[in-house]
Formats: sequence, C-alpha cells, structure tokens
Amino acid sequence: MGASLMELLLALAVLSAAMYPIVFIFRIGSPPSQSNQQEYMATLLAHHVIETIVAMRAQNPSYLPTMSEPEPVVQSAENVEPVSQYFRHISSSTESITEVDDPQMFWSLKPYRCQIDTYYLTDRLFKAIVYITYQREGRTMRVFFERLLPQKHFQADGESEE
Amino acid sequence: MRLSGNSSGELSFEGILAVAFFSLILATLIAVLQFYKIRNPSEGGAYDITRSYNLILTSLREDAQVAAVAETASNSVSLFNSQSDLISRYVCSGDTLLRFDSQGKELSLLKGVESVCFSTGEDLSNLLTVKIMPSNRMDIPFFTSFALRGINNDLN
Repeated sequence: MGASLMELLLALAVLSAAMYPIVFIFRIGSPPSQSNQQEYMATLLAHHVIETIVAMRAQNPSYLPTMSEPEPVVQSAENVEPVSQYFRHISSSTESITEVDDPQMFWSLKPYRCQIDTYYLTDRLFKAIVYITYQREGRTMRVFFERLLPQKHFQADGESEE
Repeated sequence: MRLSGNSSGELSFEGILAVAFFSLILATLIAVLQFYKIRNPSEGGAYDITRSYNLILTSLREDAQVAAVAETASNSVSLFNSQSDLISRYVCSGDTLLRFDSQGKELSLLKGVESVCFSTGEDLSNLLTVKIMPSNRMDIPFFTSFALRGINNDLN
C-alpha cells in the first residue's frame, strides 16, 4: 500500500509538470484583459497630450507645459470651463470638438477631463504629469503619463545657454 | 500501479511518460496556434478592437520615431524621413486600414473602419493626429497623436 501511494504521487508529479507548459502557454497567449475600453481611450488621450508636448518642444525647446485643473476635452453647453489647450484646433471646422461637428467623437470623449501637473526637479529637469480622469460606477478613475523634460534657458537672442 | 510491467488495468511508468510526452506535443501545437493568432489580430472571430488599436499604435509610434515629414491626404498618410525617403504609408482601403512599408509590403491593421482622418496641425506640422471611426458604433474610436521625431533625435 505504501509503495502504491508513492507511485501514485510520482505519477501525479510527472503529469503536473507535463501540464504546466499548456497552462503557461494559454496564460501568455491570451490577450491582456482590456474589457474596459474607457481606460484604453483615456490612455490614447494621455498619449495625445504627451506627444503634443513633445512636438511643441521640438518647435520651441524652451517650451514647458503649464499646470492646469481638470478641464474638458470637448466643448459642450454643460461645461463652463474652457477646453484643455491640448484638445483645441484638432477639429477641421471648429476650434474644438463639438456635438454638431463630430457627434460620435464628441460623445466618446465627453466623459474625459485633462489635468496637467508640473514639477521643477534638480539637475534642470522638469516633470510633466498628464492625468486623464473619467467616471466609472460612481468612482473617479484616472490614467496618467509622465515625462521628464530638460529645462533650457534661452538668452534674448534665442541661443541656448546649455 | 507498477513502475514496470504491463498488467491489464494498470498504468505503467512508461505509460505516464507517454502521456507527458503527448502533453508536451499538445503544448507545442497550442503555442504555434497562439503565436499565429497574435500575429494576425484582425483574423478570427471574437476579438477586442483594442488589440488592433495596439497594433496601429505600435506601428505608428515606431514610424514616428524616424519620420520627419507626414504627407496627409483624405484617407491616407505617407511618412518620410529627413532624407525624404518613404518610411511607410497608411491607407484606408474600403473598410480596412492598411500599412505599406517602404518596399510596398502590405499589412492589414484593422477591419471594419468607417472613416479615417490623418492630419497635421497648422502650427504643429510635426504632430500627426489620427482619428479612426470603427463601423461598429459600440466600439471606441481611435484618437491620438504622434510627434514626428525624425528631425530632433534628442526628443527620444
């Protein structure tokens, strides 16, 4: 009986080890759970803001983003605050996306707000954090991207001091 | 159960090894299938649109790293590096978004597209904004931008 039990345990150990690759492959092969498309949309918007900052710095290396409160990303009658500056001039016909101009995009982006936090760091570094907030099941959710930017000081003639 | 011998109704150790061997073969076949499905996200039945969006995001991010100029049309964009060599071209053909590399090799990025808009800002010509409306209104649209870093490599 003792020998049979040992053989049974050995058999289970070998079979478990053989099954592990199947479980592991199913786990890595399955797509990441992104059932929450709201979060994905927020990620795209945060990416848009960071890339806009990068493009603005390419044109003007002394440019640094300014802090802002949570601001809407589309123009609607409900919002008295101005649309975030990173979401202006992205519509072909109007200054920002409106319900009349682009209804599908408008209703997709309406739940989101954009906030910028900035910090001066040592070694002439500047940190910009982009928060995209939205409501889900009564809770405020937010996605954030951050980027370190080197500070460049410019003289009156426009030449960099660095 | 015995470690050796083949008495009727008993599982031998060799039998267990055979089961383990066939399990590994099965795992290999599943791995091949999974990798095939990952490389072709637009094929297959139920798929999340964000998987295709990830492919678009990754492709455009890689191209924007070396692109200096974007020439936009109504439903296409061509990306060029600082030597004016073509890097890639994104075209909406029918309801499919396609990417063509510099050799003209085609890659299907997303099916079920209602409209695509590529644009660069009037003030920011180095910022490519992409808007994609899926034909399924229940899916989110794709909206984001890409800074063209081909001129200022220190932006990376």
